[in-house]
Amino acid sequence: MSQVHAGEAGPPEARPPGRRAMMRLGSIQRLVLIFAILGPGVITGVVDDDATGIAGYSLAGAQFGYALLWSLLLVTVALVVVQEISARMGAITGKGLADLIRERFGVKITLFAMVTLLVANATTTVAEFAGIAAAAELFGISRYLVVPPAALVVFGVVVFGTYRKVEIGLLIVSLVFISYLITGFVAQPHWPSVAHGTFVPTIHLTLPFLTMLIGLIGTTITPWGQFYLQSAVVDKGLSEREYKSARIDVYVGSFITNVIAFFIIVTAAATLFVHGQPANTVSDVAESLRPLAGNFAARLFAIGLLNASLMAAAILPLSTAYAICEAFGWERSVSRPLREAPVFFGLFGGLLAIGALAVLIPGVPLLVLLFLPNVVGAILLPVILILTLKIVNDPHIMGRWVNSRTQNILAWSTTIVLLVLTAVYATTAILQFAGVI
Amino acid sequence: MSFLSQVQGRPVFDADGAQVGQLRDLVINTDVPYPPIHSLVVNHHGSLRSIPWSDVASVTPSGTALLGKFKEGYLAPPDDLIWLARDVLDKQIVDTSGVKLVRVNDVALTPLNHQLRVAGVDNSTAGLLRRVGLERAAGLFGKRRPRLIDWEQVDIGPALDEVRLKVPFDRLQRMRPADIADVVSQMSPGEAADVMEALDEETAARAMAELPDRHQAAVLAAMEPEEAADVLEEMEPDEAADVLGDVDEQTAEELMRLMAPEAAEEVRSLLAYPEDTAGGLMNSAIISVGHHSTLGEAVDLLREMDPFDEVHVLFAVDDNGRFRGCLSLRDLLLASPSARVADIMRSDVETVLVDAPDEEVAQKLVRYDLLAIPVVDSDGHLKGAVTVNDVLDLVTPRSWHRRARRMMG
Repeated sequence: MSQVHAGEAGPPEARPPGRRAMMRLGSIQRLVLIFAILGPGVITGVVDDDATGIAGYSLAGAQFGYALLWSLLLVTVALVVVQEISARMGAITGKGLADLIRERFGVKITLFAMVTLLVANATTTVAEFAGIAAAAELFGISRYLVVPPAALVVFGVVVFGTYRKVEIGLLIVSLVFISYLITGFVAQPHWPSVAHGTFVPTIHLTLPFLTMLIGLIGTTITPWGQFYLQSAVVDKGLSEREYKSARIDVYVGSFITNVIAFFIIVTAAATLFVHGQPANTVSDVAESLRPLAGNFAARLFAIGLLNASLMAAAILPLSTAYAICEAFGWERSVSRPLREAPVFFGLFGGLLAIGALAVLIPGVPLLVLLFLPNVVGAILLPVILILTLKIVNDPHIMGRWVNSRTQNILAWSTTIVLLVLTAVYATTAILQFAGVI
Repeated sequence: MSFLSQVQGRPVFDADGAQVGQLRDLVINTDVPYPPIHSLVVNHHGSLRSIPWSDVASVTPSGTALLGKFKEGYLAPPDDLIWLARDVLDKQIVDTSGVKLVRVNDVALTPLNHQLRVAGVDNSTAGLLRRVGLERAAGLFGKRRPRLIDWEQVDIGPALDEVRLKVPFDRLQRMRPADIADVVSQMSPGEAADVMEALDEETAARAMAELPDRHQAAVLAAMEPEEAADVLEEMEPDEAADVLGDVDEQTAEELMRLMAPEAAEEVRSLLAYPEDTAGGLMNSAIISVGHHSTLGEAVDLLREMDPFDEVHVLFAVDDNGRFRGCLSLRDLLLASPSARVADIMRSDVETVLVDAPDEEVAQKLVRYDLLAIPVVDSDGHLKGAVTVNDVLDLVTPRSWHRRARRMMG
């Protein structure tokens, strides 16, 4: 169809500036490069503070004031360690976590991992819609008016938007999380106490305190986070060469997660805990802001909750469908027609539908829906972490990028601590669930 | 017919019926069609040993039988051949007949003339159920026989660790570029880059041009810079510019430094034009002849340049490089070789300016039924040409575009 060069129609002498013109400014280039790579880690970090996260942090602050703030420092380290591993596996192998589990461990273990992932993520998706419902009701709008359109919007954006646009959209929406910083200040906490709680670790050997501590970790380091982050890194085509910049993204993301967690705990502590009010739902935190700082702060909190829930409601079903189809070799891509990827769209749409319908059941207690995923996720997480660590230490898969000794010590101790804590947490949570509710 | 999953992990007996180990894997040599099993990998008291097929009586789901005793002299298994369970099972391979990336749920084996040969791969749900020991449950899904993909229709290249095993991407290479692009776009950028690097540059270039924009940039960025530059050189300059326009500036600069200077210069000049103008769409690699030359000279020029792609139109320019007219291949063939280009060419040809918006270019091509339209600057200098192919996706829905390309390519 086209012709070859004859030399006479040479290149233009003058180069008009164009959209595709090359930039020659070194520092701008570098900035652009970092911004181009920022994404997977930051999004994962922000979505980590989803509805279950906000619920967990609010309750932590409401029940124990500033006493649990110190644990966020440790959680940050653990989160950095496990997410760096995910990003590294994605960049080096070019494969998702589900893919690697299937290739390394075969069908049976993959099936086990995927069924558990599906159950955990389904309950978490329900929780996200519970978050949407709670936020709507804070604005005085019935959940029946908000939840179904929210599900449709999420489905539409993911199916009809392109990945890059969705990602940019998500990054912009992440800025709403700044609202928690504002509410944190508006709530006028006693800063010396905040500092004390952050840097002086306190442990009460009581069941509620331990449960809350484990819940904080469990809601921050999640199975879906590991799958999503690795897929996003793979999808961006990040390779060995760009891995160093990708790591910055993970650090920034983990930092954001815990800064937001910090301010939510501070907000709840400065309002509910200080005034000795009990907190039974997320809404209590928002409501408690009203007398202190007026409607503005309460609305800001509600917007943050809505935003967190919406983002997670999009990402959880999507990454679940993606992981399962990847593991079993079914067509997977939002850019494929529905009939070519029936399982993918079935899982994605099905999870959204389950999430939206569950919270519409009349009289269903939102707190239970928000509480459940922490238990289920806590049980699955160690399984995923152990599989991850076996893969990341396999030189056949990772080559010279296997974990260093330091990384292994950090990662295994994180896993073992989590294993012990989540075992304790799961037991107490189940006991509570059975006994209290 | 049996399946790999049914024999793997089963006991291995010697001729006396004593268990000497467990069957770990089957090793094949891929040089032959429907490759026969070359040797067995057996776990013998914790160490892996290789038993040549000549010492094997049978491999069945109830166990593997040897013809004689287990020899202590059996060596460690060869690492550079393909182990079916290690390298193929659970991996993603290319189904060249279905033009799809599929995951191997099982490998079908069939006995033939005292040999066990690989018949095909199973990527069905029945295969998955067999793997978890629910073979009977497969009957619930309508008792379908497992769908097998013929071994001769698959390319296992993508599954293999490129460092350990050098298996050329033969079957993938023989597919049409548009089909290769289809398969490659189902892979992650890293995997796609490995495949592109393994293909010959010409095939890789054609496949790259067919990839969706988003994939192009990601795959290119994931490739080794030297290999990526080679592929870009093979591509049409306008297509190469298209791809480079989508990758970040630093990578684009690096790749252009690695390309042959002429090719890089051409791409660089095209990159200077905004993407949605005639300049951004056009190909600067066109055949232009002086309007004073004879048709014979024009044919000689064409022969000398030996253009790889099809040529439909020649462009006539004056000594200053200003556009004068067009000459079709038909004109060139039918008129006398001594005739002058200026006398034969059509000079009442539509042109577009380099900064004309893409819709205008597309409209003119369609309205005047042209195969290509010359692109000129404000002084009338010929800069390149936009072909119908370049604007196809502006005037047709996306799905038609791919189909049309497939038909034309």
